[in-house]
Amino acid sequence: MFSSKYLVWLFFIIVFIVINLVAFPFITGDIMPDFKDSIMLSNQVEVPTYYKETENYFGSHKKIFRTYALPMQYLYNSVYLWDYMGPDPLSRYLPDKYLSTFLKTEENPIQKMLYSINNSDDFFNIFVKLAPILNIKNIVLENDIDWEFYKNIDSPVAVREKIDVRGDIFIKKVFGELDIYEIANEYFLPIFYSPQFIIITPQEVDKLPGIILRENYGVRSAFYLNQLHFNIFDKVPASYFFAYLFDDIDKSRKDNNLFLNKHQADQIFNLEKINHQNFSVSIQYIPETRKVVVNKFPIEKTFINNKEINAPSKTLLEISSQPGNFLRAGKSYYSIQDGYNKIIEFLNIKDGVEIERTIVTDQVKLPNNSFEEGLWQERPGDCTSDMEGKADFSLKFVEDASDGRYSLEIGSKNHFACVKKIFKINLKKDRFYKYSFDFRSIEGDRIFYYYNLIGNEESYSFNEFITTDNQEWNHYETIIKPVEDINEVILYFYAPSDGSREIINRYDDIELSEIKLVSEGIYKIDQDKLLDDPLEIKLKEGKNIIEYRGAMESGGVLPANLYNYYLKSDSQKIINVPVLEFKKINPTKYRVIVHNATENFPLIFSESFHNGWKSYLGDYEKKEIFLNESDYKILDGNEDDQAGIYELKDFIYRGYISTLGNFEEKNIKHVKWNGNKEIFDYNEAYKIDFVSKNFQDTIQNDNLPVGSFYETWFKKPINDDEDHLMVNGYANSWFIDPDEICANSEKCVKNSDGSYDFELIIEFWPQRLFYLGLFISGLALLGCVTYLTYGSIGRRRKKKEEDVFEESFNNPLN
Amino acid sequence: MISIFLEKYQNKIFIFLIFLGSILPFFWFKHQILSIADTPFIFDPTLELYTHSFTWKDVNLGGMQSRGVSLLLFFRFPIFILSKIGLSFAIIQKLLFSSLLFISGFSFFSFIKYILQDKYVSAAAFLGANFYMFNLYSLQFFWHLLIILFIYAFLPIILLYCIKVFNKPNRKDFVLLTIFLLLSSPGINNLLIGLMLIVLVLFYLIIDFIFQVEGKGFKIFLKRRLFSLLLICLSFFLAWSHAVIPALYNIGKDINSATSAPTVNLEYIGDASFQKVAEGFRFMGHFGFFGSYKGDLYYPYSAIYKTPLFISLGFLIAILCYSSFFFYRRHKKNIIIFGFLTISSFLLINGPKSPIGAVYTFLFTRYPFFSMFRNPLDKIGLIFIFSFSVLLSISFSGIFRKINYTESKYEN
Repeated sequence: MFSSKYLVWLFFIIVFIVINLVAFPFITGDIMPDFKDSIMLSNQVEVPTYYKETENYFGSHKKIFRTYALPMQYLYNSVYLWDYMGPDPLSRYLPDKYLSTFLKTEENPIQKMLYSINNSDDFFNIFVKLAPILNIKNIVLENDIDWEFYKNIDSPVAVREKIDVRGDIFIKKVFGELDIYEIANEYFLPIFYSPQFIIITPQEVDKLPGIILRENYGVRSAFYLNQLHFNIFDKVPASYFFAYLFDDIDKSRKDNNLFLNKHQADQIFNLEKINHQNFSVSIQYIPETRKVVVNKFPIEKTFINNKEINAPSKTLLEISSQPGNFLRAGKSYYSIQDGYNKIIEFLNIKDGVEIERTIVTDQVKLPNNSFEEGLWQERPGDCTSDMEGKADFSLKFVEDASDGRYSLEIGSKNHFACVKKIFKINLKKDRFYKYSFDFRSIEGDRIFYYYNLIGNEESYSFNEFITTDNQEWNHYETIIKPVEDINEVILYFYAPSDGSREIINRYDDIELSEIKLVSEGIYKIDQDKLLDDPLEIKLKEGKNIIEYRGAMESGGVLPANLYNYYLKSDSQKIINVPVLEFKKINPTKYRVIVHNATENFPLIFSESFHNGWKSYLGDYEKKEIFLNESDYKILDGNEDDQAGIYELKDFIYRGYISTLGNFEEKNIKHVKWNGNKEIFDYNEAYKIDFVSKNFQDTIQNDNLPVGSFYETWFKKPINDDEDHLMVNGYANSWFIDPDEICANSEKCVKNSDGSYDFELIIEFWPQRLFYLGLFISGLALLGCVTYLTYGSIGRRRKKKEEDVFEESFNNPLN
Repeated sequence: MISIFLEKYQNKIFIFLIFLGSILPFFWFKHQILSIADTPFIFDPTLELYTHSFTWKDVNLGGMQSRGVSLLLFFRFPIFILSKIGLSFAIIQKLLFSSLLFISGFSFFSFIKYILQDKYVSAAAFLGANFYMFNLYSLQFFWHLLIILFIYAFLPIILLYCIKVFNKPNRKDFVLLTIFLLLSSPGINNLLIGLMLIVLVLFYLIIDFIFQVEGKGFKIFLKRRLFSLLLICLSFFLAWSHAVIPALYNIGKDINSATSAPTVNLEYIGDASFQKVAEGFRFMGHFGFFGSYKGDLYYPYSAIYKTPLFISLGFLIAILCYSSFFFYRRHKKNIIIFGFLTISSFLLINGPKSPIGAVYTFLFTRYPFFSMFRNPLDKIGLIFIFSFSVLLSISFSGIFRKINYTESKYEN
């Protein structure tokens, strides 16, 4: 028999084994799987050296800017070809420089907007114009991204191809799998800038791309989005107003309200249209002139305060042609017929159109194509699935024909009535076929047809609504070019009623013939014609009602074209902007010197908006600067951004530079990479720190003093929160009124021309709470360590005296 | 001879065994670990130390006041120092894992030894510590929530010293409590985790107070304990100031956004809680544990936990834990406290799938404030596993005593 002691220990051992067996991944090391021979990616990795090289490259740049990562990723964890899935290493190596689009797009309007333009053909056109207000200077193309994993992002090769054809983005450096591109200097705005143009708009960030694509958009602009009631006009008269006529958030809304204050309403507004090639055009054949006319679709049936907007349509193309020909736009063919009016998107014809004549080479036999032998089916089918109410159809064989004696008449009071017929015919791959029929609208104004081509591999369907404004027999043609051999064709004809009115259509003479196309000329569109003539609109103070009184498109939505129109009031004048000189002291503190300020101006700070950012008036003193040329050198890695000696002299002469430091020798430690180890490369000695070139009237001067961390602690911010506004959809701005700031202050320096120079300290206020907290915690730590050390020495002494040493292991901490 | 040695040095041996267990991370991985979720590990220690010295963070134009400063003193700074003396990132990470494992084992061991004070308490405390160090719930912290490990590891010893200061305030215990709180401060990068610790401490102290006050002068007793409580609060304040004071700036905004948050997506809470109630008893119900991608398991070893042996062993531990209720008479106070905590946290940790799922759903859909607890696994799980481990130790202690007592009875 075991004694109880052994039983206890036996139980102990069993439990010990059970606990550790259940938690065996801790014991075996499987807790950190290496996922060998698995598609899963381990989080045990070594980051490739080229990321550190990129960090060093950007680290050597003294200029403050952001970089943008491509291809666009939209997952929190990026997937890389070096068997790693996790946060993008660049977001860790360039924490304050790096910008990427990832999972949290829903929470961040700017990210959401960037993501929304991801697949746009205009992406880089928009991007280079957005880059200034986002303080972006570089693009990093990550070729090591596992882009196939994402499925719907561009491959790095595709991104590179898009960039390489541009004249405003250049390759700058390549580190392993990372390509560093630079955006042209004309598109760079420093982290602090004073805008020349202010755009006030009720729109949200998602409309920024549309606004900046306007021809006259100035890079040095600032957007006050969603700002209607704020009196920016009072503060800066140089603002202009921008508002879309309709908001596409709720596409079923036919009206929109625009609230204006007195200052805004006093402006003269023009109705303009976003020229981003996203609008509709109509293709129409005019029998009288025998010309095909492509018209830019005018705004129609739109009223502002009950007054209709009368904007004329604009003709983009006028081409001599005749019925029976086709107009080709890209891969689509549009029939040229009397009374045929086709509305298509401009994008389809932006590269020009071609007129093609058809020569019939063979007729494809379609039995009973003219309904002379009877109807295709006894009763019409219901070709709708989710419409409300009961179907109410009619189908007749009528003695009214465009060919022969009879035609098919199909009618519906509700739902889409349809008839169909299957034709076992062969159509050859890549040949052209002309599909035509005659139609007559007896009731209603809508014709609808549908066909389905059955090939060996797939079936190909097509359908189209045709609107008609007459009750005569009309002819319709379209071209079919099968992508594989077709064995069967199913033709459908409809009476498409949405329940609001009855539709009765007649169909006759359905034909399918093999044809040859002969070009009769290619026609390009004059780009100047794309611009709308401005239309002056008067708005009133208070609520302005904008309404669309036309018919909604299918699905009950507004015509897409309407979303391109906007109202714009012109700027009264360009802001007389000062020159800014600044230094980043740390991520929570900047020193900005304003030179030659004459009037109220907005100071833009391109860090995300937060109430914690405050601006304080600093103690500014204008001192004379003596420059010894030999003390100044361009720092390694800053050749493109640093001011040359002549520029620096010019800055000093103009009074744009406040200091060049204390001229004491300092060192920059440069490192390089040997395999995966960072090693010392060389020391670079210098006396004058970085002074940037003048970028849009902003100069970064790293020689400005750091100042003490408490220099603003007992100062009042110069602006209250009313003047601290969000700008550009994410950034901070303050309206600076030099007269107000400098009225009773000795901290400003008045120049001979009456302008002011003064210093602002921009600080993230909560940082001082951290200093306070750190002080308390630090003091507590110091106190505790001192007490324990002192106590332990005392105890040891006491122990020696008493020669007592047991206790401690029975209660290890007592 | 051996048994005398074992008796005399059992504490030392148990602590040595805890130490042995804590060096396992040195064999876990070869390369550097780059965490996949909320704990970015080491990329550039110098840069990371610098960025964590500032409360402003503007990553991806999502500017916010950063609580990452809580990582500065006892996470980023030691990493910076170790990297400067030439240790590789992999070694630094192993040291960190190892230290946190040791602290969690040692602090739990000390806590149990203090609160149980029984004959076989050391062995019971060791088994509890062993479980607290190695269990399938804490596994997720090593994967992607490393920061929470700081609270997890120090939780038992912080509670222990809170009890000590509460019951008999003295300078040394106050100083030690402050130091342990300081060391745990990276964990309050997630303020709610810190809040859970405070809730646990308060709950324990209140029940402790109720038990102690019986038959004593209530007013005098309350006065004394209020003073002790103030000392504990002071200790928390001193230790966590650097993380908590900056956060106060946004506290109104945080509460406002928490209380006005849109209705919580219950599906999300479902993912962030135990997937099956029964699996909760085995601590492996968290999302993805049995999941796979294109046939490959997220946790390559998870399949074994579906075998009868491991299912039985898993439930055996749960049964052992709840058998502590049989020893109610001897450990009344602790069983009430930790029994309540285990059961309530278990119900909450299971989210909408819990037996009180309807209440859960009601609270989360009606009161947006509860959205703060939308990750019950991380937040409430901490209390669950701690209370569970304590009950387990109570059971072992009771079982050891029972075995011993049965034998002695027969001998008599």
